[in-house]
Amino acid sequence: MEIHSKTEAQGRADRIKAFRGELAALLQEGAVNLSDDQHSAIARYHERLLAGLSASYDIDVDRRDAQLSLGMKIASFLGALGLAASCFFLFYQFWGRIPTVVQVVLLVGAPGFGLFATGYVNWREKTGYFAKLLGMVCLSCFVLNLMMLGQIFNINPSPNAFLIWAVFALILAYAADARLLLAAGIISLAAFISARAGTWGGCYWLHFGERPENFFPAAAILFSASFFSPRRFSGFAVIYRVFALLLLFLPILVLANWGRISYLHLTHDSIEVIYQSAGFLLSALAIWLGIVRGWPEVVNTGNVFFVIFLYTKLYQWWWEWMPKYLFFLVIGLTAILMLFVFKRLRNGVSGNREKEGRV
Amino acid sequence: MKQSFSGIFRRFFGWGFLLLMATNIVVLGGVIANRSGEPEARLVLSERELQPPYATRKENSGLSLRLIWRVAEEDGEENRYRYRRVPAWFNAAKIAELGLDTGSNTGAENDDALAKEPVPKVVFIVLELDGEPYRRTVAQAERALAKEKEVQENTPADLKKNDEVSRKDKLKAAVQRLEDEHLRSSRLFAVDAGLEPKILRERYPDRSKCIIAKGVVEVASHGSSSKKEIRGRITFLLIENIHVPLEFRDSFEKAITKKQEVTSNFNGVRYMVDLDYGSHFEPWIASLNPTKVATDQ
Repeated sequence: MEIHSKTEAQGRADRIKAFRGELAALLQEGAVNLSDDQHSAIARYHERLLAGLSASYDIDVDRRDAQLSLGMKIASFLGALGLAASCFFLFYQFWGRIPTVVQVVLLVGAPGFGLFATGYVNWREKTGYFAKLLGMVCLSCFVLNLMMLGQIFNINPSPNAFLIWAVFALILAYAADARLLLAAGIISLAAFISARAGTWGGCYWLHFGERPENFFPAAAILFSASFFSPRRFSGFAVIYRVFALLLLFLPILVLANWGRISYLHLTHDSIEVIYQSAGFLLSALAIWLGIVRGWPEVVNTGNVFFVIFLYTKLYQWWWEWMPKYLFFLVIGLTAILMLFVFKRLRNGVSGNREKEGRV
Repeated sequence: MKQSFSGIFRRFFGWGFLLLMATNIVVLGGVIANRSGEPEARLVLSERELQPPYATRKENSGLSLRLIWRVAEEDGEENRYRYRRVPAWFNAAKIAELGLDTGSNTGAENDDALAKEPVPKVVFIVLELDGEPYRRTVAQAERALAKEKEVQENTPADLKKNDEVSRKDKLKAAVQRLEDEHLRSSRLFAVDAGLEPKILRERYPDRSKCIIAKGVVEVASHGSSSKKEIRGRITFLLIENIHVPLEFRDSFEKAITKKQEVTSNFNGVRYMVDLDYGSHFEPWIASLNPTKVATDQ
């Protein structure tokens, strides 16, 4: 079985660990018999495989490794945010006291140096945490680069900056296999696409949020992009899908309650009914699609928004006239009903996963 | 799986570096293009039009001056909301000319079910320094003061104490308003808006008095509930904070060491600024000089 990414390598290591535990139980209960040669051959094979995977992908071989890895991920995340913020505030502290030429050199040089450092560290250090941390710092330096040039030279703001930041973040994300950088790139790309959609709709780009439909093209593009993400990048497709669904459902939620800010030339009530219906239909469709394709994140996001749409509707129907105890009783009973439904859905997802050999 | 450094080099330093350099070349090239040739406009503004920041921030050593501008409303209005930015000239015809989204709002009640939140749009705004709108505003303040003085003179002697205090306060406010117009308030007024800067420049050819800058406008309801109409509002200019380069910081700090007392004792501005606008309608400070008021201790 070919391994393409760290996620797949970790999955294989977890299966080996589970296999060892189950085999020991089967041997103890006398359900199966293995000769010493067979036992040794399997053990040697697994040891060699785990050693190879550990060397190539820096996976967690046991629980202690997993706990330490989690700690490293949290430390790397906090370190990245802290250093990125520090770059901003460091420059803000001193920039007013240095000549313009020096300001420009520093602003252009910082992301360039960060880029080189990220590449070098990614090559030398196998865990990848330091490269991801430096990647975030490099991205923040580039954001600072364009923001401060705009401030120094009084440049009219433009949505194209979002596109440039998005491309830079995506380059770093794919080079360092960093999901945080991917998320930053996706957010920036979504902002650009939505701002452009707003401009085509006739509004100033900064006000693209005043027409939530501007986010739909970004949602469609991101969802499509998830199909093209190479397998060797751990969990990238998941992030594309989650952001796509957020950019779809959040605007629908807003429009389902505030028809006044829609592009549609209909009465507010009609618009709200249309988007409420769309919300229910699309969240149900997301749940179905997630089950069929084995995408648990799509199922979960669809679930969350289905529940939000449902409770919003119940609130609109009953809150004013129904006694509060009765309203919350209905909410509770609805939740219990949803539990039964989700349990069936979860069994459906697990079944699909087993079928595709992912567990 | 770790690749050779040359493989990473191609991915990182190649594309990322290219993007970094290309972006900065485009941005700095745009700055050079904006500032090359004759400025699109060159005005001499005072502290009244380019004010210091409200407060200095310890964590930010940069300095920007705020461009203060106003709009003139119709004659006869009390001008209570001078900074509402709904100018008299921004009527239905101008809204149509600019192609603004009215959100299906006509002001009539039966349109409410179809009404939309209007979306703002970026257009070119013309700002005029010390022009007709400013002189009209000063004249309004003078008329308001004259009216209050007349009311004072005709006030009966046996007026209730509360009414008397109220009358005196109104007179004081009218005096303060006129003084503000002469000494403190901005002389920069938005006088027009359009989609084509060349056409606007033909209409307002004086580059030493008229700036053309990009700004955001939108439709707004104006007037009382019985007389509601749709008018245009200038929300903001794209550039309202103008960076002060290091070479002018000393002059600026020397100028503002003299305290600006916001009372009737203040007799002038502390600095004058040459503000240029380039071909991309982006401004820069060409010079900043303390005035005699500031240098006299």
